[in-house]
Amino acid sequence: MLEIKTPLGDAKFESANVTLREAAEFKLTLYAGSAGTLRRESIVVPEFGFAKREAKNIFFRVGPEQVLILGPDPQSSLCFVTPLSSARCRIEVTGPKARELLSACAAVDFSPSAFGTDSVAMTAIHHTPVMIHALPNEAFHIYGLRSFAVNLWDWLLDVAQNLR
Amino acid sequence: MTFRRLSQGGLIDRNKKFTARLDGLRITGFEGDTLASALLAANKMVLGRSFKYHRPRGLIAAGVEEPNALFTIGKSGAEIPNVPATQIQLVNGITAKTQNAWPSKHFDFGAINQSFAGILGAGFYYKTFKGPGRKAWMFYEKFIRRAAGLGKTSTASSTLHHGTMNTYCDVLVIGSGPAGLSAALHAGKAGASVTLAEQDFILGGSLLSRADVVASEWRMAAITALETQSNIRLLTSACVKGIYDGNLAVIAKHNDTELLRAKTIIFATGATDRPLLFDGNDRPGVMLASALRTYANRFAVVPAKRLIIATNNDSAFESAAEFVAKGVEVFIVDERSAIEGATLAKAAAAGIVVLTRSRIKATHGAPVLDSVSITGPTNITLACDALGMSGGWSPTIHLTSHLGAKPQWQEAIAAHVPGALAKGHFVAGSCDGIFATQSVALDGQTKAQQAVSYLGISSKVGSLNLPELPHDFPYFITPSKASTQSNTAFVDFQNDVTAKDVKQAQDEGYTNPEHLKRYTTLGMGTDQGKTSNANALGLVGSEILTTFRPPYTPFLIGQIAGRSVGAHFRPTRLSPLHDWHLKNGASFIEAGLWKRAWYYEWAGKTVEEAYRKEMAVVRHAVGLSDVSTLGKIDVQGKDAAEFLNRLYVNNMESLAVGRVRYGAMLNDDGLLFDDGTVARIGPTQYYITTTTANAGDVMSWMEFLLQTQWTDLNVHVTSVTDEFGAMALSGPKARAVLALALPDADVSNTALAYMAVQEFKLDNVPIRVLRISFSGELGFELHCPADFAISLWEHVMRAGEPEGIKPYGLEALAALRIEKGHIASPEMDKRVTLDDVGLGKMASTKKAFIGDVLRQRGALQLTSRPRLVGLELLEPDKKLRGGAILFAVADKIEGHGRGHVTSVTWSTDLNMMIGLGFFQGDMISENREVLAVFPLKNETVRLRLVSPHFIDRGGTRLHA
Repeated sequence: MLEIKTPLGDAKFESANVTLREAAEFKLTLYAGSAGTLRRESIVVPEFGFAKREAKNIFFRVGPEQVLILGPDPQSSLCFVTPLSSARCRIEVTGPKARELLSACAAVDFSPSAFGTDSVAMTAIHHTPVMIHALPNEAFHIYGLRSFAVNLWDWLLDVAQNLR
Repeated sequence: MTFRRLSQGGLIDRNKKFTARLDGLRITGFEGDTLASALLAANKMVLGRSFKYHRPRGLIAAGVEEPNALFTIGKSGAEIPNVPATQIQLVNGITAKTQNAWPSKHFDFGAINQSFAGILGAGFYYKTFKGPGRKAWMFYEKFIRRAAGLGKTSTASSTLHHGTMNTYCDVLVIGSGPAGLSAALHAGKAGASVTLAEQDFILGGSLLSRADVVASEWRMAAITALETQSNIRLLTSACVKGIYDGNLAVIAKHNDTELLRAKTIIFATGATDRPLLFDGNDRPGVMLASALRTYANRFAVVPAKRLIIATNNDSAFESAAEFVAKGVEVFIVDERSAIEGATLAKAAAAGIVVLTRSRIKATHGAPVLDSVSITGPTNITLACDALGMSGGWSPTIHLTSHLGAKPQWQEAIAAHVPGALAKGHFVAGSCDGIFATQSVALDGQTKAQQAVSYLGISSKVGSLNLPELPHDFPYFITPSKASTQSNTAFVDFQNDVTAKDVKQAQDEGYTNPEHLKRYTTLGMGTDQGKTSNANALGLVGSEILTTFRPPYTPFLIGQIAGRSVGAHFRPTRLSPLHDWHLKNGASFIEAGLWKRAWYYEWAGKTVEEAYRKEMAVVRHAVGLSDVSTLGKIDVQGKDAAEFLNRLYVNNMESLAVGRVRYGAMLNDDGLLFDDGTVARIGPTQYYITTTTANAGDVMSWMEFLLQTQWTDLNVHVTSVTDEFGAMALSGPKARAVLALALPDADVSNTALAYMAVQEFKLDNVPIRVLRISFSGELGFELHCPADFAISLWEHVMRAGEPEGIKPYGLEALAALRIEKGHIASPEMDKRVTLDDVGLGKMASTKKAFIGDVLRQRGALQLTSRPRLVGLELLEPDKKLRGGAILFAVADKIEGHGRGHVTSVTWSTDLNMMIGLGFFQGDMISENREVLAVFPLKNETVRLRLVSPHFIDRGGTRLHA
């Protein structure tokens, strides 16, 4: 029986300031197509910088004609569909200094007024591309490339351990 | 001379006593002290030796401009050199070491240089150490560097941790003097998010140096008001080092760095007092008048009895009265002939003796100041404890210039002010040439109003409560016309540049300040001429400042590197199979950012031993290797075939669904860019692999073409390098193992022929099998979602156990491909053509593709171009090395030869060292003997030219 091995083996770090944990096992699929195609296929196309929730899915616009969909695959015969569930690691950041940790990692304004719930930033942490999604209740998901997962985790851990 | 600590006053807490160590000596002070003020209070006057002449030097300043009192602070592993004592907050246990003095700052052998001051002037090094040969400087340099210099960095790894933080605000106010405080208050009240950055460890700027209660109370009230507003962030010990595009301010905070992006910036950086030029102006005890004022009012440290202030402007008069109030006798020596009557009257009322039209001729004392000679209507010598220099104020305009604003000369204040500023930048207070405190505070408010308006914030804020100070003191200045050409009148204290040096440089034609700087070193060093620039310009009669560049003050390299040190020096990339390799005895090697399994313990303890065994397993049984690092790109769209046809030299449109084709692509200059496989998954979908090294470049190239050149093509490309784990199953028994691993799949040669691709499922997990081979043996690549890669790998290993399957690493993988004659990154160095590597025939003549036109260039068609060859080592006792230069046997061994060796390995099939390389095309003949020269080790070996395909030229194994 083939088994799933997540990139970080369900790693977790907890401190008074911040909690990091691998939020593994998610379904992520890239849908690509012209604006018309996406519309015809009822693919939600959010504004850049924001995620949109509909039914069991969260939609992220990651390119002019590309939408990343978290959750079950919507049916589509016209879009170009690429599964990316294995291509990403996902790290959840929570805790009173979660925003501070993110600010130490990426050149994005993470203040509550600028980065509220369902804000999305496509940016970089330690030179590697990441997508950061603000969840309700001051939690954040960082999606990184799987091959950089350990590197990303170590970096976040270094920051978390040195938060004052 | 002596200094003393007052029993009351100042911003120090006498109840909190701190102890520091300087060169092991115990120094005590109070909370609120700097190391400088504690040293001055302890009457420690000689604090170091100068850069070139090793002259005894003491404190000159009280701020970042201090050029002399530099120390190395911290203990081994956390040492920071060249820190001004004025910037070191006194805390318990801090340690400092004197720099550039041996055996001690009080008796320094280097002081012998003073005897040669007459010949050690400007340009001495350039003129003296240029010969006799071209390499002479290399010889002299180490001696000169040992004799002169600042602190030394430790060669040990630093134990300091440097963090980085990104922050944002509407208004950044730099400086917390009266202008900065009022600007921050106003902008904050208007509703803007404000960050106030102050390099000192307490807020107040110039207000900290004042004695009057009104100013002090206003400072406290302003700080309290600022602290109560949640939209205002107050940073202390936070020095803005540079301003960059996008209003990015780089701020050093202790050992960390803050990268602040502000919508607007208000520069309230104040001004710096200037020294005066006279003989012995560097003698310990001679200080800036403003610094003496700071030490007196902020730190409660004053000269014991008598202070002489030499000046050319009014500002010194204000502080002189404060000294008198502290029991210090004050003489003012003023160069000017005309001084306001009111100013003189105030001085007289305070009991200050003013000598007009007078200047300091020389200072005396060994080595510490004890008296000065004054020249003027009356020539006299006066004993004193300290001499204050007040040559006028230079606005601190450095940061305003970082984005290119050129400073402008303002005659009225005999100083430069910021020129045309970048959009969204505002200058307030002394930095803009306004020196009176009340006006400065008002200007801060005005500039904040402008900044808020620039932001489009319409909130109405009334006028602030500004300090109700007595009528602003006037500021009249007569620029100092120094006539001295003495070699002890120092223009630049830190670099030991004298008035004589400047004159000499001028005489030799170095009149442009940029040339003057390079020739004399004036304005260089850690203080970057903060106290010297204005006087130097005065001497040469120029108004052109040299360009201010970041950093404003020294910045630790570690703060620039941040967390990117040690294991985080650069990102590391791991295969989804990494953990398996780790648990199963793999040694790793870096391949770009990747860490790849190099060889395995089962095969040997050294790479030389292991890779040969791993090769043998693949050649005679079956091996499994991790190839997840290959670039993998999903290409979809109705024009996908046309797109790939234009990209690759060979035809990809004709590729049938379910088939794989080897492909090569060229740069638009006609040279080979990358190779890999193209698998047609469906009519509109391709799955391509690239080399590991070029994965990112190929993906970028594709996106560039689709977004800018071929926007009409309906194609989407997605990197799936991380989505798929990939493993190469190779060897004569590979099919048998695959059949065991995928029991429901037909993997026969008929169903899964050479260069076929099929997708199977195992436990409902899709597994893409490509019948391709890099090793030259019967081979299959298995690609599956990376989440299942380890599980699939283990499954295949278990299935292959009866056949003797073993893992093989990157070294064996590379060795196998050399035997087969497959090119890889060492051969594809972006300088070779398709023909050079023997793939010219792949290029289609029926379609256009990128690089097709320019590859026809004459220079790329020459038969003499180096072509890919196989190489066999004829001398088994010698070593064949990659990078060796190839020569014909009759050649003289010099220059670039006729080619070079790109890859070498031991051949298990041929039982000898073999290699691939390039050799001049028109001289290639089978079995020709050539020489490989490796100059770095002075080695020459004999080789034989052979076909680059050492094994299975007919492809029997591949098609098995």
